[in-house]
Amino acid sequence: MNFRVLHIELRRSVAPWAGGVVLASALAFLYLVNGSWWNGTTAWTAQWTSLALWTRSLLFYLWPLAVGFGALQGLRDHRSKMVELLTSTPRPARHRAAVPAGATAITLASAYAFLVLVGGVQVLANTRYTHLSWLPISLVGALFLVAGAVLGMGAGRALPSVLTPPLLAMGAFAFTALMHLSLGRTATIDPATGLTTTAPNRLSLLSPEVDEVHSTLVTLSASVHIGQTIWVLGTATTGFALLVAATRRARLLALAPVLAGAVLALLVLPSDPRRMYVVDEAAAKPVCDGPVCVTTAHEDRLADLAGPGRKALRLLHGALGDRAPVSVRENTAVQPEGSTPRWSRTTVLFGFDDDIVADARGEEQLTWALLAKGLVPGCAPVGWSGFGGDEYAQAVAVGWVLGELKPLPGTPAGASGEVDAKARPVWKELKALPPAEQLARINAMRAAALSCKGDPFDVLSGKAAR
Amino acid sequence: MMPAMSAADIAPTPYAWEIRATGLKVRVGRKRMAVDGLDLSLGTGVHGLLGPNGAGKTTLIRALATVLRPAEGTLELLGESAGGTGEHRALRRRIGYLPQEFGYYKRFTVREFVEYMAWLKEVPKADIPGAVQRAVERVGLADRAEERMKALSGGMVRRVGIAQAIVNDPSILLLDEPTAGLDPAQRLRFRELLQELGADTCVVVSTHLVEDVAAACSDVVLFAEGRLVFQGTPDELAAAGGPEHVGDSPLERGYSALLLNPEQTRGTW
Repeated sequence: MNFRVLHIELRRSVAPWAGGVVLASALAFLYLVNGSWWNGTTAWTAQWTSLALWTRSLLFYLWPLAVGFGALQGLRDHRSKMVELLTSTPRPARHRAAVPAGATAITLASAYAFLVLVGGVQVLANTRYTHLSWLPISLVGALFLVAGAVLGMGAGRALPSVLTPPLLAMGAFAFTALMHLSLGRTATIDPATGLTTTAPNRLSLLSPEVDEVHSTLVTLSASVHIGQTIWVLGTATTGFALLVAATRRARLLALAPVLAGAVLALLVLPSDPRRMYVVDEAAAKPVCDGPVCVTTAHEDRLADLAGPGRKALRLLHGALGDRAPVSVRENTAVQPEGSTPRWSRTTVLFGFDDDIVADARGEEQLTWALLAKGLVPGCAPVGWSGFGGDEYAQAVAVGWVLGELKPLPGTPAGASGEVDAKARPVWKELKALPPAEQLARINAMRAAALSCKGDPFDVLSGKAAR
Repeated sequence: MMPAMSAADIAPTPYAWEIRATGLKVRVGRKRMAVDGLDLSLGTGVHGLLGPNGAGKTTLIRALATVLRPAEGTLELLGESAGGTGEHRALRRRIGYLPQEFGYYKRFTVREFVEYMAWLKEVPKADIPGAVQRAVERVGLADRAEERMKALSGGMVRRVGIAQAIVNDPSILLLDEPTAGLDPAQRLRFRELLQELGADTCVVVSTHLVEDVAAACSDVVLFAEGRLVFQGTPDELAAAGGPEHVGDSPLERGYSALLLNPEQTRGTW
């Protein structure tokens, strides 16, 4: 490749615009919109994997942009009426096509890399857990962008019309939207809750976008990377072949790689959502201080948690005796959205994004929060948030252990009065019972809360038929 | 600065004619034969390709530029057959071509554009900057070389078209209507350039301006309805006409006389 010619294309072709628009719009999107990419432990600047996944999610519109810019570039020879002159030159079409394709690849990949760099600098400041297993997510993302642009170039050359770039970009956007919303998702009804939930299916993995990030510990599986790489290479090959093709036959033949890529990719890609989004075992590996454990990803938060964790266990043991949990652990179970959470009798499971934990200020509040998670862990379907019986029961149960009602962290502003009004009479009634009966009611409530069967608050207030 | 002589430069050419066509037919579209049985041999020098509109001049030039493939007959360029399949890579390196409709990348500067074309013509990497500078100087655009193509006037764009055609020091130079858009002074300068180039190059200039031919061409090829009507010097063309023929100059009268053929009157206006 001739670097002077590459330099010319880097300055004069669509390439710098493509890179500039991709970078600027991505940063604007991330910084100007206050979305869930700023929230808690899964914020895009919190962990490397979250960074990689959130920046991948942006491809739902960055990829169509790349396709559109590619088409604009592919249209250039036709619009400039250069075809005649170019046909008479000796240099093979593949050399000629490689230069603008290379220039666009360079600017798009640089823009994407810079985007990751902007987040990466902040991730370095936010976590001590550094690893490289996030890298394939971003590399495949960059490949998607480049392949999209090359495919656009080929299409722009094969269909030389001013309508090609906008229609192609819109088509690509429709593709990512369909894959995210309907075509790429399979609906299931959870028998336990009766809620309809959707999970991504195999088809959705042909889209560059990834599912929203719900857990720090979730990452894409290797088979997803492999399948997507095959698919992306297929699209890029077709794009380049279209860019070089001179005859109708060659153009038809150029469609073969993208079809073959799709078929091969669908053979390799997993169909089970649990094998697409998997737990990152290295990140989930527990780091413990006595009975209190967090994941490796959150190792830097263990020091703050160890004291309150021990204290909560001691208090629980004092109150519940042998039935009390014996350890505190960060929850590493990654359950599908909408499913009923599963809890343990012997372990206090918590997440740093649980409202009650995230909101806790100081050791005392953190202790209360862990007490609450040990007594009434909460049964809102995974990914949903609610407010009601679980929270009232938490207030009563924690008040019972501590001997006085406390305003628990994570209570929405304005709801604390309501909690107190509901919880105080029940708490008073409970305290008035004989000690053995108090414990029996608490144990019955805990059984309901841990199995997510029945309303623990009803059990506490004695309403439940037992 | 001239490129250094190599053994290939001084070796005798293995062919008698730069361009040699026998029974050449070139199809345009599905049916029409725009070049219909042409026998033509051209050597070094400046050959003016004259003929009425629709005579097939552009089709012939496109076939000579290896853009169109001959349908029948043989076409030999620099001793190599230009028919059949194949990329003609070695041959194309030695051809310069200015299409009738000269397209260009508007955002490129003059130098970038000519450099890009030199790269496409596979001029050796080390020679490109020098070759570009020489070509730009020869068309008088050295002081505008850093300007964007879109900022140029029509005449200047035409000169860039000539610069890109000569940047690879071609052995065959094909110019389709090169003087369109040039003002009289530029046209004079262009004729000088043609004569310089004709010393060692086979230049084929398609034009409908008879005075261009008179001033710059060593040889006239008169072409009508896809066939050769006349080939000779400008003087011979002038001699063919008499006072009874239409035209303001001897050449125009010769042109009229040769085209005034009973078979060819059906298409007048």
